[in-house]
Order: sequence, then C-alpha cells, then structure tokens
Amino acid sequence: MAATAAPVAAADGSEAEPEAAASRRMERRLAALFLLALGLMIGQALRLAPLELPGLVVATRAGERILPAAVPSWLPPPALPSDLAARLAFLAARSVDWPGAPPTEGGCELFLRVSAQHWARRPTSPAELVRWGAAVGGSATYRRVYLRAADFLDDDDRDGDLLDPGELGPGPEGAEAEVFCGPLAAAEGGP
Amino acid sequence: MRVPLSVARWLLAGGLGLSLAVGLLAARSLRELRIQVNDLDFLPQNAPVLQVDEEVRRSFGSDERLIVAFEAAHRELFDPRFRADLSFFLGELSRSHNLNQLLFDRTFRPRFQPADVAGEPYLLHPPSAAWVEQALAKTAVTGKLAAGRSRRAVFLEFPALSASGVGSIQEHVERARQLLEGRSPGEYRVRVLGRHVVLNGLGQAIFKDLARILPWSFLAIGLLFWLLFRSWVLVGLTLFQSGLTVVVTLAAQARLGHPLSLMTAMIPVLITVIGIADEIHFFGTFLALRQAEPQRLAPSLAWETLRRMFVPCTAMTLTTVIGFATFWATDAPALQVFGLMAGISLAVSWLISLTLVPAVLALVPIRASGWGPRAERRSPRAGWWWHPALPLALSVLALPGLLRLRVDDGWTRNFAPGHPIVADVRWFEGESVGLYQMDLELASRDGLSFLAPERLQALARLEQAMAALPEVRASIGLVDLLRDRRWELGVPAGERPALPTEPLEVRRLLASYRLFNEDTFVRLVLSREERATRLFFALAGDDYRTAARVREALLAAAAREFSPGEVEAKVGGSAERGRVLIGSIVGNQLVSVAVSLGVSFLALAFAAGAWGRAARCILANAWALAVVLGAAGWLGVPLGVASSCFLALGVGIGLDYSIHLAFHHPGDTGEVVRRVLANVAIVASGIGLLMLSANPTIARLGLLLTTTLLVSAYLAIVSFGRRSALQHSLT
Repeated sequence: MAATAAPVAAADGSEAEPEAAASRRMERRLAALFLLALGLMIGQALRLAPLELPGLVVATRAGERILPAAVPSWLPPPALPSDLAARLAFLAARSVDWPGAPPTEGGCELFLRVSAQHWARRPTSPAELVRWGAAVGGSATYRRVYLRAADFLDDDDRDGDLLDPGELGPGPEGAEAEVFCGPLAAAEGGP
Repeated sequence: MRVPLSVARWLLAGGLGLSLAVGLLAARSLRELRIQVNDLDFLPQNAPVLQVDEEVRRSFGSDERLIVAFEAAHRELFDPRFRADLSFFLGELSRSHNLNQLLFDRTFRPRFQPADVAGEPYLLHPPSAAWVEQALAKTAVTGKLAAGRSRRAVFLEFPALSASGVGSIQEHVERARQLLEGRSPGEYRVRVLGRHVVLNGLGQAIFKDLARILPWSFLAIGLLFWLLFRSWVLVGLTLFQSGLTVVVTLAAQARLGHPLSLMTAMIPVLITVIGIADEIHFFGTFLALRQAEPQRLAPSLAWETLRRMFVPCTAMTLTTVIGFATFWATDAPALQVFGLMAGISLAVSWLISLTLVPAVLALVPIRASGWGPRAERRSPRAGWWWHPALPLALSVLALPGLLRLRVDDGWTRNFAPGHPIVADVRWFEGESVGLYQMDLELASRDGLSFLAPERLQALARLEQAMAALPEVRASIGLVDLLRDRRWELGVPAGERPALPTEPLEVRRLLASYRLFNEDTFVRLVLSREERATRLFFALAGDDYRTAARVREALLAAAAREFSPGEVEAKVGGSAERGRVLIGSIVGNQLVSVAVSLGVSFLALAFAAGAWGRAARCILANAWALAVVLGAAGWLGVPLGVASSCFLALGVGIGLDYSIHLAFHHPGDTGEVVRRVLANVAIVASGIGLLMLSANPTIARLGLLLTTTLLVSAYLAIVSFGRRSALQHSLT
C-alpha cells in the first residue's frame, strides 16, 4: 500500500506529519483495525443463533379435552356403531375423562352423553352402578340408562359428585349413559 | 514482474465473471429468506416480562388467539338468516381438517338446558336466540368475547400457532368468504384479527416496501453517478457493486437463518447507498488526477488513487461499520442481527471498492466528462451560510427541542393510518375488547389454593377495582368463569349470580367445564395445582402510557388484596411487552450511540495517532446528532422501534464527512469539500428514498437519517473547512 508514500497532513496543518513511515503506519493500523472488526463481526454473526419463538404450550392433558375444539358443536350427531366393541371404541375416542373420578377396580365404564358429539367417561364398579340405579344384571356386559338434566344440577348427598344415588334411570328422558362391563371394558383399556 | 495489459484485462474479466457467479449462486439462497416481525425480537432476552410469559405459558398454556369476525351489514346475530349463513361459513371453514380441529365458536356453542329435550339424549343443546341474548348480557366471557357490541358480529376463534399457520387460516377464511359472498352478496364482511395478523401484515408491508424502494434507489444512484461523472462504465461498476453487496448480504442472512425483519429489511437500501460512498471519492480522485496529469497511464493513476483514498475511505467505512456493529452491544436480537449484517455488508462493499474498483479504473478505458477541474467551480465557503455563527444560532434554537422528544410505540403505528389492518383493529376495539392484553399472574406463596373462599373474594375485589380504570376495557379471570357457569346452570332469566363461596359448589362448577369439553378455559386461569391464577386485562391501547398506568394499578391492587408473603404478583402479556419494549429501545439507543462514538474515537485516534483531530471529528458528529434530535423534538417527529436507530447510524455515516475533511491529502481541501458535497447529495438522495416507505417508522428513519447526513456534512465543513480552505487557496 505504501510504495509511493504521500504525506498525510491535518486539514489545518497543525499536526503535519509528512513522513512516509507515518503514513504507512497509519495505513497498517487502519487495515488491521478493519480486519479485526470484520473478523469480530463474522465471528459474532456465526455465533448468533436465530431467535426461537416460543412454541405452543398446551396445559391440558390427554383425556381432559377432545378435538375438534368446536365440540360441542352445531353439527348433527354422528352415527354410532351397533357392534358393542366398536361402539365402546367409538365412545372412548370421543370422550373426556370424568373430573375427579377416582380409579376403581370394578371393571366397568360409564359413558355419559354430554352433547351430540361427545361423552364423559368414568371408570366404575358394579357396586357403584347399583347405587346409581344402573346395575348391569347377570352376565350382561352392556346397559343403556339415562340421566335427567335436572339431576345433573343437584348434589343430593353433598359429596361434590355430580352423580348421586338413583339418578341413572331407564329413561327415555334425559341424557344417555352407556355402561360397559366385564371383558368388553377391560379390552378397551378400562380398569 | 510487469503483467501485460491484455493479460491483466483478461484477469479482470475473470474476476468480474467470478463475482457475477458468486452473486448468482448467492441469489439462490434468497429463496430461503423468511419474513418475520415479532416484538420478542426487540426485547432483552433476560427481560422479566419474558420470564413471566414463559411461566404463564407453562402453567396456563398458550393463549394467542386469531379472531375471525363475521359481521353482517344489516342483520343481527339473532336473525335466523344470519345463523344459517354463519353455519354455511363455518361449514366451509370446517372442510379443512386442521381448521375443523381448532375452530371455536362461543356464541352458538350448544349449552346446558335444565329441561330434557325429546329426541336429543344429551345435556347440551343448540341455544335459542333468547338464550344467546341473555348470555351476552349476563356473562363475562360470552358477553365480552363472543359477539360484537352492535350485535351484528360474532367472533370465531383459532389458536394462533405460528405465523405460517395464521397465513394458512387467512387463506381458508378468504375462500369461505368468497363462497359466502356468492350465497349472500354484499351482506357480510369477514375480518381476520389478532396480533399475529398485525405482525404478519407488517412483514408483508415491509417486503412490498423493499421491493418498491430498492429499484428506485438503484435508479437514483445510477442517475446521480451519471450526472456527476458522465460515464456508463462508472455507473455500471457502482450498480454492480451495490447489487453484489446486497445479494451476498441477504444470502448470508438467509443461510444464517435470520429472517427479514423490521430492522433487517432496511439493510438493502441502506447498504446500496452507503456502500457506494467510497466510489464517489475513488472516481473523483481518479478523474481529478487524470485531468491534472493527462499523460500518465491509467494503472498508475488508479494506484495513486488507491494510495490517496485508502486511509480516508477505510477510516470512514470503519467508523460506519462501528456504527452498525455497536448494535451488537444492545440486548435486542433484532438490533444485533441488523448491526452485524449491515456491518458485514459494508465491509464486503469496502473490499470490492479496494479491489474491483481500482482494477476497473486501471484496465477499462473510461470516458468521463462530468468531474471538471476544481478551479472552475465556486468555493462552497463563499456564501454566508458557511459562517460559524449560523450553525451556532441554529443549535441554540434546536437543542431545547430535545426536551420535547417522544418515543412512539404500538405495532399498528408502523402501518400507514389507512391500512386495512389498522382499520380492522380499530373496528375491533369499537366492537369488542381489542387486541392488547396484560396478564396478572398470582402465585400462592403460603400454599393456599386460589379456590379458597377468601382468595376468590380477593380476586373479585381486585377485578372490580381494575374494571374502574378507563384504560381497562375488560377483565377475565377465575371469578368470571365461576359466576358465568353458575348463571348457566341456574336460572338464565335471572340476574347474574354472585360468586359462589361454598367449596363443593366451586368444584362442581369447575368440573362442569371438563364435562362440557371446556377444561381449557379453566386451565387458562388456574394452574393444575390451584396455587397460581391468571387474570386477563384487555387494554384500550398498546401505547406506553396506557400499559404503564394499568401495570402500576394492577400491582397496587394486588398489593392491597394480598400481602407479599401470601401471594406473589407478576405482570406479563403483549401490552406489558410493549411497555418494556420502549424502555429497551431508549436504553439500547443510548448504549449503541455511546459505544459508537467511543469506539469510533478510539479507532480513529489509534489509527491516525492524532487524538485531537479524532476528538474534533467525534464532537462535530455529536453536535449534528444533537441538532437533529432537537429539530425532531420541535417538529414532533417521534422515535419508534426502527427510527430510533438513526442515532447510531448517524454516528457511522455522519462521521464520514469529518473524517474526509480532517484526514485528507494535503492540498486537496477544495477537492475534498466537493467530494463531500457530492457524497452527501448521492447518499442523502438514496437514503431519502426511505421516506417514500409506506411504513411510517421507516419513512421517519429516512427523514431523520437524511437530515443527519445534511447537518453532519454542513457542520463538518464549517468545523474543518475554513482554515484549510484559506491555507490551500480553495478558491
């Protein structure tokens, strides 16, 4: 760069430094500073990771909600399979877990139809079913009972449970509740 | 060893071809360049609000919503035809599997009815118009979120998963709207609203702007270079350099995975203009030398030009690079990426200036007639406007304006006022709760559940106190969920019931949310362990003052209801992020300007070994910035997210003129002043094109930067030009 050194002077001439050596020194320093700056910037650019935007966090767990989110919706009710095993699987896929229901060893599953498109699933036992009025007699594995809307609202025994003794009846008024017991319920992953 | 001229020209042709190939190769990477605008880009990554938001997400889940507003021109939502058309629209939307999974309609969602319905063996049934009317009037959540105040609009909701997801939803909504238009022409208007829509729209506006302004900046540069030098070779060389620099920079940005943001979108225009500042000095010096020594060969003149220009051009590029690079010292990712990419880009441009440009000057015959001998021109100091008293007087007038400076904020202010997105947001503010949300997260320190009666009562009082603030449009929390459900399961014709305090009833009401497939609502306001709760507050605006007032009131209200030992209160949400953003902008600008001035001074002083001259350069530049800031204060030009960065850029670019005048070749003062004026004309014209941006913030940045350049050049000439001009007989 400095083969033909030209004097570099202050604009006002007050700090005149005409020597070629000074000019070369200045060029070298500038070049070094520039390359240093470039190196630092490239180094930082390579280290700077793109900003990760926060991902979607779902606070609910499996069984606490079902999709589509629109359920219950204005859409017409789905056609239910008549085969019991298929029906149980169908209901299980469209049901939320009953809140606060403790796991039981009873081997039965109760599905209360909450809306046209979804059910609430509750593991239960024959003894509980008897108490609610929905006993599955003998060797039967399936029974359909009904919960009246008015009974849904009360808490007769003051235990905080939405289902009270004797509230599941033969219908036909009220919301459908389907009970599966025995091997059928066990095969679907019940208790 | 001397290289024959023909061989050298072939080498140059090879070099140009190689550069072109690099440019074309780099251009392929541009397809990977994403556009993304996000407020998180401008926030310090250790900002407490981000930690609060993260805690809120962990405990309560993501809650960014996308709202599809379905509005009728005349009918009210209770009209059966409205309902039928809405069902048609929803049905069309639901054809997309993803949308069908996520779509949520609060207004006509089947609800509990205390009487059994024949033929419908379930608990929830499509609500009647009378029921919907009651719900809108008597519940908090449905009343505030489900339908518009005019009762001619309902709001459908989607979770806003990502920018691309939002874009996809917008496409589907538009398709469904077109089908609806065919069914009921002119009857309905459909809007898509949400923070993501605003930010996506801003990204698109920025990209459109870039595509519009960049060609103009190339044209302006080409035209000005032609007017100055009257040489197609020099014009072509300049444009080639600018184009190559822009393509390589954007390609590098794409390869590094950084999207085109509000800040980085400005790089192409800035670099196109700033990058060619060196060329004005190179070409001017080369042509002046050639006129002075017509018998001298071009390679020798080019070498002499390089020798003379190396120090001032390197120094001025270095200080500009420092101006950009100081954004690295800030804690905002968008500013960091902008600073680094712009700095590297300018360095690439400098490398081309030092290699390709002298080679072309040496080897390509140049016919130029525009840069006449300086003796033919009038001294720029001849007029009264160069008298030092004038800038001093201007400064005295301008500086008090500093006290009037304000920082403008809010994302919608980045759009032109008539932009459809702004109109939609304003409409939504009138019809509903608006888009600006502040969260109050309360965490129990004493282990007591927020379902305890005393806690619920305290939450109710807190909400009531906040509702009295004019800045709060709506609030929603656990208390509202309980009261709403109590109303729904009670007597719909009755008044809104009081907050239940009986623990069994509280649990029964919350359990009904799960049964109705609405557990998400509960989880949004109550953590699984019941030790933390969140209250949403919809704010009337996203400006700093509103957010600051609500935040202060929130913390005060929380302190009144809960002692610090019982409950810890934290504030988060988009409105709070907006508030923090302003503080971050101000702080970051102070840091980058201080670092920029300091490092530039050290670099100049170290390289030149002239501390006094370096200090004068810096002072002249700081003076110019203060005058521009003062003028901005008087003129009411606010600083915003993007425009506030003009300060550090002003240091980088504005310092160039002082450097040229302070560190020039002796005897060249008149020529240097001419080149500085030419430089100002070209760079200010190019950057001035930013003023044509449809984005007000970027347009303001263009105005502020252009003004800074003009004032910097003026003050540099006044500061450094007079004595030199006298000494070197400029005239």
